[in-house]
Amino acid sequence: MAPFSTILRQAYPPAAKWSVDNISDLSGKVFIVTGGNAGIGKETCKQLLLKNAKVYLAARSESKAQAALDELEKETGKKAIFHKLDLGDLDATKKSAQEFLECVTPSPYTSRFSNQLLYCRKESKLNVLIANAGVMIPPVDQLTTQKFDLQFGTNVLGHLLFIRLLYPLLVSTTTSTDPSRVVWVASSMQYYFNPPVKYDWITDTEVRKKQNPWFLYAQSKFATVQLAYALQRELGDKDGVVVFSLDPGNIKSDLQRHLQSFIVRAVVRLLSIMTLPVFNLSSIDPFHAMAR
Amino acid sequence: MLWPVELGALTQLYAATDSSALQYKGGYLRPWARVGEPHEGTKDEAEQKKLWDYCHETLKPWLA
Repeated sequence: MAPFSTILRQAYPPAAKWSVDNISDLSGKVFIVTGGNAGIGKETCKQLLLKNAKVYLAARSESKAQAALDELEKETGKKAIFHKLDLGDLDATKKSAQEFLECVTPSPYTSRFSNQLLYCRKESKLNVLIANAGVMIPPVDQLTTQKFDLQFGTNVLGHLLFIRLLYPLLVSTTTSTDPSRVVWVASSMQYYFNPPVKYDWITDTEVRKKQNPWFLYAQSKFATVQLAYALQRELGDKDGVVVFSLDPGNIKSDLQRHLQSFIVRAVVRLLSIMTLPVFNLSSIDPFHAMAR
Repeated sequence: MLWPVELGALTQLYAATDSSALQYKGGYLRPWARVGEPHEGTKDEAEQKKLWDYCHETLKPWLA
């Protein structure tokens, strides 16, 4: 647990000195924003589009992302490109990365036909990967397709796989004056984690099932910060790729709307009053599943 | 206190686009768009490496 002064400063940050007005023109630069269909991910896509970036909005379902895609176009006059990605399924995550990469050199024959263009982006570069999607406090019994804890599996393992598979493209795009970047969104919840990492919380164990989902969330975000440091040291320093992890702040999100239980909603409100962070719930939202 | 989504996007936009952010390469950023300090425990390099190796071992079938 971090000192109370750190917690307080996190909840009530000083006024911003930097604004979106500082963003220079991003013409010709390629971004992927995971979970770009909602919350701070969607806002990130919007600001990038306003500066003429090419933005791939990565989310699970194109039909569910359609409202966000339409809204972004209306607000910016530019189109984000949907890219299918399900971080809760490692097979699907691999397929998603491959589809992005394979399009670097599509065969002229297949790329001529419009059906192929759905997944064939003909992309040759990737400047920035913003790993923004996240699952927060789903019911503890929920697991990924490969039976990992849903929060760790999605927030950490899914993202790490996606980053590692796209990494060669980041490396080939990087230059000394304009290095490629990996921006991995963590959370102030990492302050509340009691290290070290509990490896038996990651797989489907009896110990994991007894944990409070908030602790599992905190571990996933603590691990995100650890892996961002490791990615910089193990690979980024050698290849000229820059890695960040970050806390976006305690942000009003769709969370409260999605919480089905009044008690959970009341607890979340109480926690937020106590300056505990409540974060963006983006594309991968287990509460949608609960509502169905 | 919960802040609006426009502020929530600020720190990652800074990390993703700003040239002055590069001075914090490999670092942790906090609201709004400034360098920060995470939990001290995240900085233990042996623990980072242990987790890095565990994840890569776990992901081996998909990284092949």
